[in-house]
Amino acid sequence: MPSGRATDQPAIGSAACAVVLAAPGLADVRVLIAEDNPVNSAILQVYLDEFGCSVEVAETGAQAVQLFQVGGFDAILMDCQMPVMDGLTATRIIRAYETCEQRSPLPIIALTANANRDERAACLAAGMNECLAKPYTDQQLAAVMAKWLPHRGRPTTRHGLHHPVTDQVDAWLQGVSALVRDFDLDVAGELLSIFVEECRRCDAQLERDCAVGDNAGLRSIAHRIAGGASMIHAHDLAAIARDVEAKCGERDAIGGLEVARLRDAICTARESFAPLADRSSLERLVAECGQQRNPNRL
Amino acid sequence: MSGIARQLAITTMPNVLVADDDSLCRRAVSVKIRNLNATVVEAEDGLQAFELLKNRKFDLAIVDLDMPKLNGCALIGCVRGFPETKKIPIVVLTGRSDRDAIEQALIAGATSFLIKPLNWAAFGAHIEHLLLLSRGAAPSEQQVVSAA
Repeated sequence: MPSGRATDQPAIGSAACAVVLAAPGLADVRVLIAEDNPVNSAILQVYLDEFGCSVEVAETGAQAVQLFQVGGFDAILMDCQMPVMDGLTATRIIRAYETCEQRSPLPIIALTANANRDERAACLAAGMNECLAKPYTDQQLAAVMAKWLPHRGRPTTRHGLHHPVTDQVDAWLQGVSALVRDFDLDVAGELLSIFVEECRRCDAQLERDCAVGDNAGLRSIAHRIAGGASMIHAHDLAAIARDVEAKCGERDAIGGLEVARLRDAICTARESFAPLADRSSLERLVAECGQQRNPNRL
Repeated sequence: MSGIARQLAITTMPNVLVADDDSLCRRAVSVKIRNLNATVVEAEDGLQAFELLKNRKFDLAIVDLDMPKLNGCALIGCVRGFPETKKIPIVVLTGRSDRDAIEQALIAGATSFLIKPLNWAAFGAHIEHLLLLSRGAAPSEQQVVSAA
C-alpha cells in the first residue's frame, strides 16, 4: 500500500481516494490526543501534522478530561488503557459533561490494541464514535477522522453519512428520506444495499477494465450507476455518471480524469450509503432529518 | 388502494413483466406493481423478457431500453411481430429522455414512454389505467361501476 501518494493527483485506489478527499477537510482541525505511550503519541502527532491538524497531548484520562473542559477541540483520539483513568471512563465523563452543558458531542475515536468485538462494544457503549485498532496507517486514521469530522460547524450525528464532500451530504440525506417516503424502511434499506453492492461491483470493474481505455465497458458502468443513483434520489451522482456516459459515446477514448471523477463519486457514494442500508439506521436518519427541519433547533 | 385495483383484484390478478438489467430498478418497480395487487415476473435482459412474454400470459410489460442481448426497441419489435403477443401493452421505462429515444421506442410499438426518476404516484396510476384497458374495460365504465 503506497502511503506517500501525492494528493494533488486524482486517486484511483479506493483507500487512497478516501485520503485525497479527506485531507483538505482535516486542515486546522484541533485534536486532543489522550495517549500515555510516548512512541504511539509521537507517531500520532506526525500523522496529524501531515493532515494539517493542531495537537494537544494528555497522558492520562484525567488530564484529557481537564483539557476537554478548557475546550477548543474538534475531536479526541483516546487510548483505551492509560494510568490514573482509562479512556472508557474519561469518555463517559466527557459525554456526561456534554449532556449536562448541552454541548454538541465531540467525535471521540478509540485507539485500542485489542480491537476485538468485546472491546469495540465497550468503547461504543462508553460513548465513543468508533474504534481504530493499532497499528493503523495514516490513511486509516484520515479516513476515520474524515468520517466523523467532515466539516466544522455541522452538527455531529451518528448515522455515518458524513463526508468531506459536504455539498452532497444534505442532498443525499434528503434523497434517502425521499426514498423512505417512496417505499418503506425495509424496502428502502434493501434498495440502498443493492445500490451499495452495485457501487462495489462497478468500482472493481473500473479498476480492472478501464485502465485500458475500454469505452464500452466504462459506458455500461456509467449507465448502471446513473440508473441506480437516480432511483435512490442521488441526483448529483446520476448527473456525473450520465455526463461520463454521454462522453463515452462522443469520443474515441475517454480521459483518465473522467474515469477518476466517476470512480471518486462511486467510492464516496458507497462509503456514505453503506452505513444506512438497514432498517434501524434509516429509522434514525429519518428521525434526525425531522429534527433538523425544526427551525427551533440551535 | 384505489377502486380500479380492487376491481381488477376480484377477477384474476394481473400479471406484469418487468424487464431491466438494473436490479435496483427492477426491485423498486416490482414493489410498486405488487402494491397494485398484481403479480410480477422479472427479466434481466431483453431475450429472457421475450422468452417469457412468448410462453406465459401477461397483461403488461415494463421494459428498459438499454438491456443486454436484446435492447428494448428490438424487444418491442419482436413482441409486436408475433400474433400471440402483439397486443400486450408495453411501457418503456428508461433514464433516457432524448427525442430520438422516445421516437424510436414509440415507432417500434411502445404503448407509453416513462422517464426515470419516476413520480411513483403517477406511475402507479398510469399502470393501473393500462391494466384496466388491457382487460378490455373502458375506464369510464369501470369507474362508474366501482363508484356505484
